[in-house]
Amino acid sequence: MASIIDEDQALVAAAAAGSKQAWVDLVARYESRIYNQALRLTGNSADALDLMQEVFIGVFKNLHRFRGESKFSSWVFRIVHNKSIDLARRWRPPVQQRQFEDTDDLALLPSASANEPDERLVQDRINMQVQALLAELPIEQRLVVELKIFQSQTFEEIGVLQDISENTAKTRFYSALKKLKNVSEKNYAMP
Amino acid sequence: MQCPETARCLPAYIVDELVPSERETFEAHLLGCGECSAELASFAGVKNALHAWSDTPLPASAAAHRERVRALAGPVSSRGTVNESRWPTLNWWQWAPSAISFVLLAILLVDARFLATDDGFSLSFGGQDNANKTAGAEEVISREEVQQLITRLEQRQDQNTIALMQAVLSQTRESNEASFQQLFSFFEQQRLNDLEQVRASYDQLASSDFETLRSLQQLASYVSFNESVR
Repeated sequence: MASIIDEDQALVAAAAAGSKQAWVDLVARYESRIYNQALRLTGNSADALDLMQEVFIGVFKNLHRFRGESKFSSWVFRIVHNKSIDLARRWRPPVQQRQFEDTDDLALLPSASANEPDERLVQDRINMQVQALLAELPIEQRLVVELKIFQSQTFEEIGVLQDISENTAKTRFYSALKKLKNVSEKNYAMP
Repeated sequence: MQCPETARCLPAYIVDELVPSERETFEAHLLGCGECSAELASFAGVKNALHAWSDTPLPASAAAHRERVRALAGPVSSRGTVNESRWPTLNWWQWAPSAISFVLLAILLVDARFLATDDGFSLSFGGQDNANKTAGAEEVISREEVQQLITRLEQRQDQNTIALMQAVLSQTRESNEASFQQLFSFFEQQRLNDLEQVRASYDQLASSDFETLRSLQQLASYVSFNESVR
């Protein structure tokens, strides 16, 4: 059975050669992951969807450049990283800070909510707390937290991606944690 | 005053990125340092809060974004299925003019002469007299004729390119920015592929036939000096 990396590479190669089905499969495989990354980085669903769309456009335009030296997921996240910085520079005022009261916005709730309302709504609320926390950080620190906590990258890898030293990546992460701690102590009851 | 170990080791310790020896040393330090212990405990809450995230499905409002993304590769049905045949197949004849133009241009640049004699065919480079050349028994294609042929082929290539773009737009039934970007990317890639092919041919020539390369360089200089850039 082919590994997911091999399957990714096969889909990328087919999509780059013009297969629409391969592209649709690739989108289906990565849309949730990219959307959730974008949600954490932008702090709201509308911007996350726009960012997801921009990321996929970037992926599609650069499919022929993917050589398979790294995992496709890493390559995609590099695009997410760069696009989110572009988005932050273009569209600031910084991330829209969503408060917990925003849960009334039904249009932005996940489509699965109707099937499992209680469990999903609880998780949505937890996710919104995380979004609200992350929204307190400047984009550079938010990206380091995303890379470290959610993408499990090493400080060395983060340094390479952000073109900073490993120590600067650690310092940035530490500063982000301190700020998150202060914010959570001040505004939120931690679970 | 902050303990220097806090900033130096705590971030990596929290995310379990210290090597075993560093971790042992820092854990020994934690036992005797109230400041680091308190900082670690407070960060644990933040870390747990972040790890409470669970991926959420796309909202209902994502349908339009999803369709636009899927449609980058061509029209897709609302069920996410595609009809591969709607993407125009690029047949060999659509790119044959490019290949022929390239070959003829190379012939022109090296001043190749194609000789047809009773004994068969021969090819010479650099305009030098060929030992086998026999006056009155040969038909030489002049540079002017080759140039005319190239011009005709280029016109045909342009027509094919336009026809191809019209076919793509007609089949996708879209004229939005995404479809134009897609088309542009595709043709740009083809152009880069052609350039890469020329470069590879030149490299091969450079490593195998120095005399021809020298003629090529001289003629390229002559052509670029005497002709306007297209």
